[in-house]
Amino acid sequence: MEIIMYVTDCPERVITGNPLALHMPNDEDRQEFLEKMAETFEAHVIQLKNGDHIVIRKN
Amino acid sequence: MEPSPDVISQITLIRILLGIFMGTIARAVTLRSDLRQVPSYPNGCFINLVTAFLAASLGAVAIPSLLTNDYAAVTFLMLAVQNFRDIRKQIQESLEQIDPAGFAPRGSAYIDGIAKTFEGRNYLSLLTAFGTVLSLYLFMSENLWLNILNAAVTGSILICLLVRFTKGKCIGDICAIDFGQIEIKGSDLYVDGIWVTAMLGIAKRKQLFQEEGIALVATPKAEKHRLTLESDAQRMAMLYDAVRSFGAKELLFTKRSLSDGRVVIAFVPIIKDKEQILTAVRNTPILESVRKVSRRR
Repeated sequence: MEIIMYVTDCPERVITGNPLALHMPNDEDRQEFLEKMAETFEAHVIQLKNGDHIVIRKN
Repeated sequence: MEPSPDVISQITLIRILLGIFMGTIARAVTLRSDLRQVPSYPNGCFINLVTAFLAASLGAVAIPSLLTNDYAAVTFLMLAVQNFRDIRKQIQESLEQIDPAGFAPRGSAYIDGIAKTFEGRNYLSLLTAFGTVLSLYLFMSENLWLNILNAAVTGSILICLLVRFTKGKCIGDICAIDFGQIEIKGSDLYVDGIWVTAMLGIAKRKQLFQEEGIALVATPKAEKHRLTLESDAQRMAMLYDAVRSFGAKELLFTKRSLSDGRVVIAFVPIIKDKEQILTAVRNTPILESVRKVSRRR
């Protein structure tokens, strides 16, 4: 299992570059972006309780 | 004119041909391209029938050869065994190569089971032919119709006995399988209260699963069956059998409940035939490598 990216609406949680952490506050834009990422990488998206998303891929 | 000693008599030829016929029939009746789609049609089936014909030929000529003091026939049987093992390896390699190409992988345990079954079916042909010819020689009738009748009866009995002996059990025999209630909370998927996955983080996927998803819950009939049902290989086989014939739209999961041994299979099928999917999962074979046989001492 590999974490491809971390997407959050809080800039304080963008604390790392590996995996790539993105700040995307607009929910609509984020959903669209995550759909594209999931399809491109054949990955799954997990939503955390704080609303952030993690894109993961099974090896 | 006296027949040459090198030419076999007509009745011997008939007995051998009847043995070969019954041996090939034995494979033909066990050759079903069912929900598992193995062997594939038409070439996979054709290969199996030809191999069965050759196996039956070896079984059928063994008795006449021994009666003429030609003990090389036994060597040929040994060669046949080696050849059948090679066929098993070949099938195993072939299935392993195409395994990642499907909707879900079969898994090595399932592939091993299929390959063993294929090898076993060759022995079925060989033994049916051998037994039929043996019976014809014990019966020693020169009448063609009596020989045909004898071959049909003996061959059929042998086929029934050997098929019964080699037939494994299905998942439906050790557990009750029914549809589960799908519930999505946030990105978490629950089926009958069992947490399955947290991978539904995208709104579109949630909607897809909510509208088209199918979840099956297998409940073991006895505590000892949990050992079989909960093994990774067996769950993989159940998922494979479900999606092989009905397809899957990317999302497919299996999960087990550690507290009570229930197993969940959840996916979004392409062909949404719920009853057939249920039947496919119920008919998933119990894998030989994970099957636990308990014997009372």
